Amino acid sequence: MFSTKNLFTKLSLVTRSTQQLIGRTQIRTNTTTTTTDKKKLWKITLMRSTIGLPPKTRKNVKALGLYSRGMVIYRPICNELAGIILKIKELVKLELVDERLPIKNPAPKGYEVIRKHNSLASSTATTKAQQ
Amino acid sequence: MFSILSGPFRPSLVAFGGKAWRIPWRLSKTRKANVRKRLRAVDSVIDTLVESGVQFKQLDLAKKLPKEHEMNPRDKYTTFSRTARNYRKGIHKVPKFTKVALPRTSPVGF
Repeated sequence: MFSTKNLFTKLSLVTRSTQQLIGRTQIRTNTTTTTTDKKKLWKITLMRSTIGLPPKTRKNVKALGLYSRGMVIYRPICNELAGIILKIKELVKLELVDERLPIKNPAPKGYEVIRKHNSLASSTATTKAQQ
Repeated sequence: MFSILSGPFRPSLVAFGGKAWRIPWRLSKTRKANVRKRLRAVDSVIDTLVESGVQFKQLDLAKKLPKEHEMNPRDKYTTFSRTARNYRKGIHKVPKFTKVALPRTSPVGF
């Protein structure tokens, strides 16, 4: 979990007990290697923008760590977050997953840079300086 | 002639009831389909929450809500209004109706 804990402390919308709980689940998810039927994470996607919505709704969305439309986050399954998700059920897409999906690498460009226009000038300058 | 009368920096027509945009009386076929799609999306979120094994009071209340296929068309596309004629108005007249939770059942007797 990247900076989940920090995020919660920053926004201070969730109590300390929640933070501890999230911390515990983090440890549990990290240590367990056995495969179980139960999924461990929620994949939450913000489908609708929060523009023009009441401040409480916007704060709830932020508390989960969603900042822009289409953003995907992974969160451990716990009751406290479930309450927040239920509050913003019109705005998000929710999926159950075992682990966070790796971020896709960009497709290969299909060409190779042999030399850059500026690099030629700089290389000649350096050789001159060396001489 | 119409284009001269309307446009920016001109007061809207009296014939339009003083409004810049008229809200249609009823939803079109497409808009109704989109309403259903949104309701189903909310259903899926609640289902996933139930599936993940969490339990709390608000979720129990959410579970009791009728699903999209169980709802009356009347509840899907119209909503209770204190001031409207016959105490009913189109769902599209509610501000932010696409992003806000609206009651899925109407009060008894309305």
